[in-house]
Amino acid sequence: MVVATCYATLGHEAVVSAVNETQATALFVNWTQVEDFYKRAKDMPSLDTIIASTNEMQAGAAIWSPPDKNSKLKVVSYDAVIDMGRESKLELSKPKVRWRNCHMNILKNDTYQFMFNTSLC
Amino acid sequence: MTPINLCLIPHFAELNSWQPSDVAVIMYTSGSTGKPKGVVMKHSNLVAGIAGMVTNVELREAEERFVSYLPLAHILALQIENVMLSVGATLCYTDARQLATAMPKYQPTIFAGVPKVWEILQAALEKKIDKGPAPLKVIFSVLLNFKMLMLSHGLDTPVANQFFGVISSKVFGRKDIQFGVTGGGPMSASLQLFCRSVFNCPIIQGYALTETCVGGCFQSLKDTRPGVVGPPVPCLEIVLQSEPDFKDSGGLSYLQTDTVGAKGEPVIGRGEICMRGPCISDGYYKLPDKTKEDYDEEGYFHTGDIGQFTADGCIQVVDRKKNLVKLKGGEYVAVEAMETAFASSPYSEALCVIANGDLDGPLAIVCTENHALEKWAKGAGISFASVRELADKKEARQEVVKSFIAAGKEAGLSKLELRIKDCVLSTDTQWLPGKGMTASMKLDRKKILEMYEKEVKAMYERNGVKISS
Repeated sequence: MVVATCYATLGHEAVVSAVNETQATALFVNWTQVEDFYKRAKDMPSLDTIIASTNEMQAGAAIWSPPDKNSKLKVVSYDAVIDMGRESKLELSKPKVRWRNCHMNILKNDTYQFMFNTSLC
Repeated sequence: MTPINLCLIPHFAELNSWQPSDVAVIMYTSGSTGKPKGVVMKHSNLVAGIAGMVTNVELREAEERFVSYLPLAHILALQIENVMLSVGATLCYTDARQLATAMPKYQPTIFAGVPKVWEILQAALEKKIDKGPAPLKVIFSVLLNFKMLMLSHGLDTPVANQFFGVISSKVFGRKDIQFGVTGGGPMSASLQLFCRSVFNCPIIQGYALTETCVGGCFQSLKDTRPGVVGPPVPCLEIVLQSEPDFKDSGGLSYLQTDTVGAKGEPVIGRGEICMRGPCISDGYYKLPDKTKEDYDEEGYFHTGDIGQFTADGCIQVVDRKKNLVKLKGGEYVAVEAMETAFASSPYSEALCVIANGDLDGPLAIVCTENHALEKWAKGAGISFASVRELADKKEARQEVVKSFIAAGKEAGLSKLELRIKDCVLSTDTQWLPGKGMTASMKLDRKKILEMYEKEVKAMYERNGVKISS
């Protein structure tokens, strides 16, 4: 999966531009920004899912939810995405190291994996 | 650049079918024109960048503990985490604002930060010592000066280390971290020496860019020279391209054939740093013209930084080409080098130097260290109702400029760079990410100039600056 990342400090306009340029289908943001991006969904036609994290939010802070439950654009929580993975019946397959020779034997075993936890995906 | 197939794969099984030549990340960074540009990184680029860093930086397998506090949208955060995972390190997460409370809890073995973060650690520590009992202040100052002197002669200080171990335990939760890494800009010699002394560990400098997937240069743990970023990592070739249009403080062009630097030091060539190797990204997404401008046909990425090779094959970065600014008289000043030098002024918490073709001497915008400024005013017999009122006084501005010139002389700045004339003093604003700083705590010059538009205009007027455009 290709991941595109965008600094929060570049501003919302930059995120919208990046979504359109990469034709991204899912956007990973903090709940505090969900409302803004949901309202701008018409400017991002490729988008079908917003995944929102509550990380760093104050306890008890209001969590915005989309007014139209039947909308094409889904808003799901990061926890829900993790649960989906946990409940998945698909078998896990370990990443394989294939390029040992060309990259100086740095990856010594098969346990290496990529982790992405960026603001936009 | 070949077109990129950006299919977002819906099937889990296909996730394992990637090839080294597939795109892994498109990392958006700020573009000079406002629209961000997406740097296209293949899996092979990222792995090469990781391999390069692991080779140059000594890490112990399954022993290291690292605190990550930058957003993963930042190349250093992304790649350093991958590096740590590749050696089985423990990763701990926190927010930049909560670093002070998180670090004693997590007890990192390695700490990485831009110079600004190290500066914040220094300031917080000095403030704490200053508020402590008088004997502690004396012991700290004596031992610090003793250790700094010893370190600069290549000697260790086992007894002083015991004392500083207590301080390090308060900051990092352990007596001595393995080493600290600094990058993203130059660190002043005094700050580097301070951190090495107080935190009982080597501080190494690194130099890399988003476009090189963190493949770049890293200093060896034994190299204590300030301003040197180390040799290139093994996955990288570096050439220096002559820049006849850019001149150093002595009026000489930066040329590949140079054997002597601006301060008379021996060098093996000077010029724009160009990098080639498996860690170099593919280019900017859907920006073929910009890609062609920065990535040449021979595979070199043109960094936009001017640098020189030291006699032992390490890179020294002079400044960004765009930070080497021509003043009215046609001579250049190095803006970032000035900011690094001036940062050791006691009155400055943060500063941004202004230099352009309309000015015959540099100017600055300064976030003041209010306690120091008030202390000075009281000593000088200047009355003031509030620190804000004090900052509006000409004497206060002159005192800050005077301290900059003293700090600049110490750091060996050029005559023109020392011709700084005036400054704007800001007493009530802290520059934070989005408000004067980027996410990685580098200066956001454009934003700062916007924030202080009125004050800068007034400064121009009182110095008789005529704006040409």
